[in-house]
Amino acid sequence: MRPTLLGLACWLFAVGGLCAESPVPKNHDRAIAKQPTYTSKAPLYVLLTFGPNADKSVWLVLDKSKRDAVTYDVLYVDRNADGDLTATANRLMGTSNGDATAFTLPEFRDPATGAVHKDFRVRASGKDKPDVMVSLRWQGKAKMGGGYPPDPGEYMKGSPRPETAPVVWFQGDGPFRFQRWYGGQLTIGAADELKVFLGQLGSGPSSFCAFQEHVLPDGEAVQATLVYHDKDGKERRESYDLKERC
Amino acid sequence: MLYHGPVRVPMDARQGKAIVRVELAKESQFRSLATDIEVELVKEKAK
Repeated sequence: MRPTLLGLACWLFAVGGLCAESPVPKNHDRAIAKQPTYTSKAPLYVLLTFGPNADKSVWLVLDKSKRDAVTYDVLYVDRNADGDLTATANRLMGTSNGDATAFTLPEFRDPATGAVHKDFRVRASGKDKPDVMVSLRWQGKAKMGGGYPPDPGEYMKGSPRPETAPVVWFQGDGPFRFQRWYGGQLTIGAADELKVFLGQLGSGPSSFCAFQEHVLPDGEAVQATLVYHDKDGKERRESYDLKERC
Repeated sequence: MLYHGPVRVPMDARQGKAIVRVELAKESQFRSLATDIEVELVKEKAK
């Protein structure tokens, strides 16, 4: 590591204290006990994880009904999290609208807690490398969706290999984490808008799982603290309330 | 859904990497873990 990077890392650690990292382990168990024979030459994998410790895995695999099908119109869901994708109930046919295909289940039982979540939905948009968004209504209440990037235009993609599949963590009971939306650059001397999602960090690109409805009471702001260095190299902090919502 | 607001970066800030620590208020009915978002402080944004 170069000295400048080392310095930055040390500083980030020093100001850090206890900060949020995804609890999704880097070596998350990716074993799939039993898989069907896929029709597509390139099935696409996404891993969902549940539980306070993100330790209950549910595989999603996008497939095609015909070898030459234009879009991914079949989805395998490991509904009982036993790693066996071959059960008949685990194969869903999608409803297509143009390049987008949606797969739905009215209910989805949380493999970690037994809670029932409503309106489970997977949406694949695009042909060869579709954007994938997974959503559900947490315990029948607030809607959550996984697959958000920090910058627009790069939504979650399924992986051709389980080993590199993105991991989305559904955990609507908190504690929650944040991810920015735009705002990777802030202008010195100006007031730039900072926007953040509220939800859970996953693993892999564009794997943030965000509330798609406002869950904080009206008037409750998210607190942001800018930690920076001034021109003399001294650490400074400025606090802001993110009061707006959209 | 997004929570947002203006973040005014002081004039004396040095260019380069900084962090924005984001969390919910201690009195919130919801629990959060402070999340550090890396940002870059610039004199002028890239077009």
